[in-house]
Amino acid sequence: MNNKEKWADEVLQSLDGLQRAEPADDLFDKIIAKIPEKKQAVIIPIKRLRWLAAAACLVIGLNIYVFSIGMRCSQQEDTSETQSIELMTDFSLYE
Amino acid sequence: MYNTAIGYLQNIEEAEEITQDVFLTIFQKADTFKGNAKVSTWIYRITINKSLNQIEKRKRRPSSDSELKDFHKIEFNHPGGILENQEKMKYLFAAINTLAEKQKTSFILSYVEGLPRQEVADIMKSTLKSIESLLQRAKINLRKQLISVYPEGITNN
Repeated sequence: MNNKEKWADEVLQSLDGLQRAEPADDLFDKIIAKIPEKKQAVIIPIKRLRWLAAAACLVIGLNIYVFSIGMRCSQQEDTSETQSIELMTDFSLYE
Repeated sequence: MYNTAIGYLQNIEEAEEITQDVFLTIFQKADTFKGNAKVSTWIYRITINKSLNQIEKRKRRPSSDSELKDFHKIEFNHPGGILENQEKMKYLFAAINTLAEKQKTSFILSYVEGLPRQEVADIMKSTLKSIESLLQRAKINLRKQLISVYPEGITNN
């Protein structure tokens, strides 16, 4: 083993007996000072709330529109059914 | 966590900053901790990630030639080192900086932080076998690096 290799091995062994590094005494105070007293409440911006309200209105509006169309269609079906019954009776020629 | 951060960053001010940052993250994200691992494992992971991010930030920051020289020069004195080993440790920490990320992490956690291999494996989400292999490769690479920077004129005792 040459000098370089011997030295490299000694350097690798230099961590033997290494103590843990301790921070400065005031570090804990700095951390405490940085921690907010209460967790901040989540604030939803007004802009996003407006978008949410608009989306909700649109969904409700569409539901009402589809419901009204459905109602109209069922009314029309009712009248056409009565008309066809009336027509059917007109066909009873041999009575 | 300060000891781990200083192992990575080799800078007292930055290690203090990272320690503060880790504490704040723990405070803010405590409710997201799922309990799948030990609390200490979770804290080590946060510390390692933040330290690695800090090193990345350094690399991204446009540095002058003198700043680059400062970063690579062999001068870090670990505060927990024995006085007679201080000079050798400067070379060792400079060599640790040249290791690949995983080798560096396994080496710091095992030899600077002094954690058992299994805990290192848990922190790195790896197996005991792969940690041992990482450490083996780290030692080989460190030895090669140290031989390449051998200061001429040194007499071995």
